[in-house]
Amino acid sequence: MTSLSSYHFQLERMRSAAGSATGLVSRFGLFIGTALILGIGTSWYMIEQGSRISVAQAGPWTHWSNVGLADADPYTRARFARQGSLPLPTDLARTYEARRDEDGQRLHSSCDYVIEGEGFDANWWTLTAFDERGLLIPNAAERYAYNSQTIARAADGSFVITLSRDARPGNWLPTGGAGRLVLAFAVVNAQSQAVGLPSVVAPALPSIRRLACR
Amino acid sequence: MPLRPRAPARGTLRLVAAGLIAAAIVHIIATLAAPYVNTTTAWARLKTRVPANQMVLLPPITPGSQQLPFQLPDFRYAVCRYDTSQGPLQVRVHLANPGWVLTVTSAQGDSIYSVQAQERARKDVNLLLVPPGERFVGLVGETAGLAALNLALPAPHGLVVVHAPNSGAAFRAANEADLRRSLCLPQPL
Repeated sequence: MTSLSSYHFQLERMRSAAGSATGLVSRFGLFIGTALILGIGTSWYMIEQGSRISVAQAGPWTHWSNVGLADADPYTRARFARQGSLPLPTDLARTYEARRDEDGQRLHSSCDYVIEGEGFDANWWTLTAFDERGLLIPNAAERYAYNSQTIARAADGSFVITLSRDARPGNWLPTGGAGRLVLAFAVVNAQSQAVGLPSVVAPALPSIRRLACR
Repeated sequence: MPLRPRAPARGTLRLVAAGLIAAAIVHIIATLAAPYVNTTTAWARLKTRVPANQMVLLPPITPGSQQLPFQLPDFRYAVCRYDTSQGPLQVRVHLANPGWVLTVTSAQGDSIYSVQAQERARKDVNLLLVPPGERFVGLVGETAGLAALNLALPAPHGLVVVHAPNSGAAFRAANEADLRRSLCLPQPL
């Protein structure tokens, strides 16, 4: 009788020890998993989307303000290393990127957009439409970008570009069936200037308005 | 009798705090390591397409010829994929027109040097890329008769890129000729 009770007692102790070990392991696993997901997730977000540390926002346009600088922040370094592009240094040129229109809707090739701008007289600029992966959009017109010298302007110097799948009069940038779109607007200062002054003056950036979707 | 919400146990709070600290450490490590573990850098993408220590004029950017994402078709690019493991390298570039930009970056894309052509400014750039191991051995461009600006590199590999904005069809041939004049010349030790 005594030995049976002792056996039960031992069994109970073993069960209790196993229960605590399982609890410890599961808590440890939860701890490690949470740390990895939270750490890598926030890092990924700040590299992909940017934050106030690395990105300046003007309407639908974002600008990585430290790109190409010797003292660039780690998020900018990581982003452009991952992207594998050849960015222009931000102290010599500015590159703005838009993935949404003025209303915050994702740019998509199933919609038509109008891009309106003025100014930039002191700078050479180029506006290019890419697909989501940063590739040019093939089209029969072989039209991929407009720059300050190829664009047709109004008498007051303003310009309008239509972003559409189908041919449009005026400055038309074809989007084909690219799906999600990314616009890149690069501004290079081509005028002489005093050393030490900021090289690119940023006037109002072009607006991006959605006209219609199919 | 109303039920009071139970305060979280001290052990749980400690675990949450430790989890947040561990997440912050993982965040920092992941961010700092990203440029070094990435195999999609511009340098890695161009490694098989551009020979080392030669300035190559990339073809006009079209959907068929685009080699890197977000390459602007209104630019022409001349690229030198430098490898200074065998010795220093001289870079001679003629920044022909205002707006042309020369950049020197590491293999991870970190900026080492950049300069832009300006009106009424000297347009010829002469650099001597000095590998990390040679930094203190007294090798200077002036003594080698190169009249070059010495650039101490943090690592032996990287890219020299000339970004040339398209000034219009009338200037295309002249711009290409100026880009072709850019050189990467390995120097004997």
